[in-house]
Amino acid sequence: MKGAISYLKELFGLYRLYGRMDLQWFLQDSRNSLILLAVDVVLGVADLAGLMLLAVRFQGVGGFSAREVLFFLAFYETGNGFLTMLFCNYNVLNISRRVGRGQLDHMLIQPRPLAMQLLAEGFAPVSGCGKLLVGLAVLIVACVGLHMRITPVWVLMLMLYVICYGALQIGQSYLWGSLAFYIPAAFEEISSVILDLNGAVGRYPLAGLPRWLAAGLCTVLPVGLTAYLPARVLLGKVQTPWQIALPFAVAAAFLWGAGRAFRRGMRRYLTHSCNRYRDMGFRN
Amino acid sequence: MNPVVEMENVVKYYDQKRPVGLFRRETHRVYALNGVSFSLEKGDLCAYAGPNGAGKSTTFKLLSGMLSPQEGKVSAFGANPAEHRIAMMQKTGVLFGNRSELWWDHPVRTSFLWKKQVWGIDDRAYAENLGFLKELLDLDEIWTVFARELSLGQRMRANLALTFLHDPQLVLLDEPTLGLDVLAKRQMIGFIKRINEEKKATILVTSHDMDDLMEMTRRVILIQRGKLAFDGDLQALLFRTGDRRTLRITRPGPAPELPGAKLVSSAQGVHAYEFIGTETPAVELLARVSALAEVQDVELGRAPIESVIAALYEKWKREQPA
Repeated sequence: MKGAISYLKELFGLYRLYGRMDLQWFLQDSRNSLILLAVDVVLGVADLAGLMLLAVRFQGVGGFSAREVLFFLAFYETGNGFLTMLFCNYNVLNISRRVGRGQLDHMLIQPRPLAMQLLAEGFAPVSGCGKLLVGLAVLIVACVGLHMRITPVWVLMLMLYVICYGALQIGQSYLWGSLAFYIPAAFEEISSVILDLNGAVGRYPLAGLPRWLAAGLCTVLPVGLTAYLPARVLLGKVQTPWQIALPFAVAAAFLWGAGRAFRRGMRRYLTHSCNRYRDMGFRN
Repeated sequence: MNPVVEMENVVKYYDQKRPVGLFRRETHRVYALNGVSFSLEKGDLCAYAGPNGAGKSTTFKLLSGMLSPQEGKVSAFGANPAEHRIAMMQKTGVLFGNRSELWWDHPVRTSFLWKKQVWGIDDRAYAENLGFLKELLDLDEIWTVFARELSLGQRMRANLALTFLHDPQLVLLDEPTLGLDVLAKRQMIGFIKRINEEKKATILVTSHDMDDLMEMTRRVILIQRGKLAFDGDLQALLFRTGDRRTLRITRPGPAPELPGAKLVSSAQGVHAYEFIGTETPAVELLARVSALAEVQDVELGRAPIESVIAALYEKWKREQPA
């Protein structure tokens, strides 16, 4: 218990440190930082615009009405923004880049547990909050438009599904990213490919797809569990317990698998090291 | 007294797959270290030298817990670095010459504040060490400059200061003078010697520049193809290899003949020679050069480490024929 408390104390100390560094980075070059944030906001809106326009044109899409589509996209953007804010900096999320570029050495010379460093180093509460702000704003608009009854339990579910979104993405990124321990040059970009794939497919509803494809997209490549199924649960369209629990179960499975693969990869790193090193500002 | 660093018969190899034909691949075992043993006591300043690919960086990675050996024992502060990485890194400083620990998009000072928190350096020690390092390495002029905007020499200075900020008892410096100009090199070497004297830190430093090593330390460990080629006094090593020197003359026309020196190359009026200092004193050779007409420039130097090691091996081969 004492160990856990001191671990958390250290972890939050690091969050404070990286949060402060992010703020400093933002303030040091305010003009460019504001432009970057504005671009993030515009990109966030653009992310949502395509499907939203289709939904408005055809009075709904994939089993959602136009307003429900807005809610679904807002949830997707909130999850994405939450993940970006916590892990976007210094390739902590795109872990295959760090592994494949031989940059883990920089972490191994720090007197902190590796997991703690990975949890804290990507924290960007200022520069990485653009998408989260867009997501939350659109979520409020969507909820008002749908006249939703917001209860504490609903808010709790929303928060849990947002965390689940992050866990699914991290699980997949680290699971596939662990391949970079074995063939660094070939798999340097695998995490980004997986995350991009999730981003590209995850913001479309799965209704109407063949069952086998929908099943695949809810298990092997669980893009359907990141936003589509949680949005249906939060909209009250799904009430069966197993469907409500499925995203959490799959996220837990992916995190467990990623943990095992990454630890195994680390053991290899400690016996083989990485046969290449790419600087690129060393954490970029 | 227990040694700070101890390596006993350490073997580290990598299996490389090499293509043979279109579909077949063969596994080749490449030894980075093959039965290497040495130890360092507290306050030792030791050069770890060898040509590229000799196994220097592998040794550093083993000592800092980033790698584990296949055979033998590696210990730092009496423990296995790979198993006690966190405790070990609290008292070890590591600097790889081609890498930077500075935060790229931040001013230099942010990297120091970052290190203060991550290493848990208390305020008093931080202020004391920083004052000492700032003075020794002229950090004030670059303190507020973004790391990405520093020159190579400035970056090395900042990195070196960062390495010593937490008062490490063991410091591993891999090519700290890499790519630096003469002035920056001199400053760096002066700093390393002074911090070793004042803080009594155990320092293991690599370089493949013989002149740098001579200026820095007395003890040298030579490594060649993963094997320990020499461990002892640098002067004794030079004596064993006959103090190999180089002479470069700039003079128009063909290379003049210099008795006692062997012509190595000659192009565009620049003629390079090698000679053995113990057999032909440099003064004698310079006297011969000064007697030549139209000499525009003369440069004396020590042979590169590759040549010293090659000579050492040749000598051993002659002494112990198979």
